[in-house]
Amino acid sequence: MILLQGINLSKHFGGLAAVDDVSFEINQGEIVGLIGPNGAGKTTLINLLTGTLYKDGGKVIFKGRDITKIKPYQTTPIGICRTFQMATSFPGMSVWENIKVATLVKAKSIDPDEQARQVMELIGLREYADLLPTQLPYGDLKRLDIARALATSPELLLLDEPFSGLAIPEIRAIATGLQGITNQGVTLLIIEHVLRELMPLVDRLIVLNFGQKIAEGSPQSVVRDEKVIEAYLGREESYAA
Amino acid sequence: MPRKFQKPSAKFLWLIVAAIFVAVPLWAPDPYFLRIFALASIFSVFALSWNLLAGYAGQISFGHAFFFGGAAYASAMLNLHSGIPPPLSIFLSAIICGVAGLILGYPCLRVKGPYFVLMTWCFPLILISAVIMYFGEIFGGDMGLSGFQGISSSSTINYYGSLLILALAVFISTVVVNSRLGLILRAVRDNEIVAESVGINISKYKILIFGLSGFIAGVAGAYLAHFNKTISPELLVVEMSLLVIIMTTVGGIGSIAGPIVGGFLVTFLDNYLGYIADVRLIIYGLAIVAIVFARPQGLLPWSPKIKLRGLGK
Amino acid sequence: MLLEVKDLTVHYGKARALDSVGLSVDSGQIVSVIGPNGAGKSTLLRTISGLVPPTSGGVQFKGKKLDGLSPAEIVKHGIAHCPEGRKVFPRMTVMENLRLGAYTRKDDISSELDYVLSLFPILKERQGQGAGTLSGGEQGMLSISRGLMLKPSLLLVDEPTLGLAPMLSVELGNKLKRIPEEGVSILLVEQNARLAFAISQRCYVLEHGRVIIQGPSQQVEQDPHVRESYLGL
Repeated sequence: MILLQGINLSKHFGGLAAVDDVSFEINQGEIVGLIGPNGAGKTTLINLLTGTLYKDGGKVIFKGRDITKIKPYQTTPIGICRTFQMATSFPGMSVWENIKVATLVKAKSIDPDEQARQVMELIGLREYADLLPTQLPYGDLKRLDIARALATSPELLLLDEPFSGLAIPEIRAIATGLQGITNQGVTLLIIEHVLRELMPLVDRLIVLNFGQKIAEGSPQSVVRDEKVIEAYLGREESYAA
Repeated sequence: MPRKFQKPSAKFLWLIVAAIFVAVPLWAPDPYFLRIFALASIFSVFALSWNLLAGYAGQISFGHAFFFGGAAYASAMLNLHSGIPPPLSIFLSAIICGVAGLILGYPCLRVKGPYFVLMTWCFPLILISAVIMYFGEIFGGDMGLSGFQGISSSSTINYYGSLLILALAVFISTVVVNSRLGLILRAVRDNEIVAESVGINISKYKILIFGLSGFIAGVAGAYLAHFNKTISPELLVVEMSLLVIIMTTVGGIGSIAGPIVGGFLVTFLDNYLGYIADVRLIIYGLAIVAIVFARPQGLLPWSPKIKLRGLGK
Repeated sequence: MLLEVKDLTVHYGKARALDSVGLSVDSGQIVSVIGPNGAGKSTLLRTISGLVPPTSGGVQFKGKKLDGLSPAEIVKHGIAHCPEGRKVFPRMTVMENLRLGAYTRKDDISSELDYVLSLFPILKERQGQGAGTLSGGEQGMLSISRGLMLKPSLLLVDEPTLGLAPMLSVELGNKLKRIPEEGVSILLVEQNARLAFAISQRCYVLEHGRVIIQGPSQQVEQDPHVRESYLGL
């Protein structure tokens, strides 16, 4: 089942096309990687999907419903939640409170305390419950981000560089955690640069460069795509002697 | 793993403090002392209202005298011209302030940090112009208003009335803080962008708290009017807005005890050290600078440090 | 050896950006550092120029340790940094930007001025224009020229072709290749690996804060692990 569709999405800043006529689909249950060189438009695309930025063109359809004009705080109640590149948190609230406040968006249909407890167990943050985020190591702050997003009972998680700033063992732990989350029925769209660790995780990749979608497909096929290689390693050119 | 510093048996402390407050008329040295104590309670309510907005929603208002003085005038007018007795006129004025807060909240809260400060700064100025200049005959102009009803002829009853509104303000603050609403407000205060990402409509909550803060400040202002049996534009000037900021900052933003400590400290200093009246703002200004640099969480030993956006960090 | 980086480890707060990185640059060389985004390439340059303090390890320049020196002092030693994103002074003219590059110098700068204006003729043409009105490629040239105005022994260049169209990248690359002729060595950070291979003599591949491949550029170019480093497979 198609969960999310982006149709002809565009965003310009001045004369620059940050996102240029991008269309794609995410199916339920998939783990999709959104990759591309620095400045390719990946975060901008996420910002368009969540309504953080106004779209200059295009539509977004979620579970058959047109959510093009939606505001960011309206995406969470319908089942979409995102994280940010830098680890973020509510610094004046404890880890438990950070997670619990995120459960409140669905307070009518779930028990917030129970949901928060479950998420803490799943992500493994129970020992930190009463601590402030500033007291956590960086890797656990990133896990708190994911826990908080998960606490909103999402169907689709948009993760912006969940691995950034982490050492390899921590990245692998998060990747395993993300696998676990998909087993719970959550669909993932992950922006990442650490491709070595992303590749084993994803079912499919979407590749952006200069705001355009240049390739899409399985990891194996995408890395062999000449356009993708060029995007990352540069074009074969002849230089002066 | 280190744990966040827990207050020592909070309920017990509050109970002791409440007992002391209730017993004051019994051991108070003189009527003047009782009066100052009552004033301190009233200003603590004012401080609690500002604290709700700043400490829990992260919005620094520089014009809270708008609600405080506005309610004072509203209540005095309602009594003078419509004969509505003080308890009801106070309540109605507070409601008017609350609604004003909801209405003004909408434009104010759409603007960020420094611009919010500017906007809040302006509103009392508008009210002062109306009161002194344009409708001077109705509102008493420079001289203000008097001749309306007081709370009671008994200073003891006046005192207990001030305790009552203090208890009300503490109750409302406690409920807000410990409820889900409090959790949401703190999230809005801490990080608006992340708050939005977990589904919180930050505008709605900021407007709500602006209204509630206006209501509580209105209760304090209207009560003060009938307590003093006279009002003047002094209640609307910028120094009044600054005074409540000073009280709350010194005591500690973000806790409930903080504004009360600050309110009492400043009121007693103000009234017992009358000879420093002219330079008091300089002293308070220096105190604020010192506190912000040395101990931003205020004087209470267990207040958490809260980062406030709006004027820099 | 002009520049030697030994065992450099750098943290941003709690996050580790570089892990025991070692490299060297000889006089008259262009040495490139390539690798996927987030590998720590910019951090490396920023540490060398003193903007970021290392957690451990050190940098030696012309035999002297740069430990604890401020960025201004490092500039005086002869290292110029052309930062990521070009970062020209947009409201000043091209000429003013260039003169600012020579700010710490007290001697006659006219020969350097002539040199950069002949290396990048377009700057001569636009010398009175506000730097903010220049195109991305022109700003890149200005940023590099500004660095050259210092008469440095070593130029640190951070992703000069970022966001540039391929043709402009080639042009800029060709210009960069000529700079060592004037006795200025270059440590070039690039995401565009192919450009780096074409214009540098030696190359280091950085991934996740570590040097995983190093050697003569022609050799590194043939190494299949480079592509794997960028693309993960």
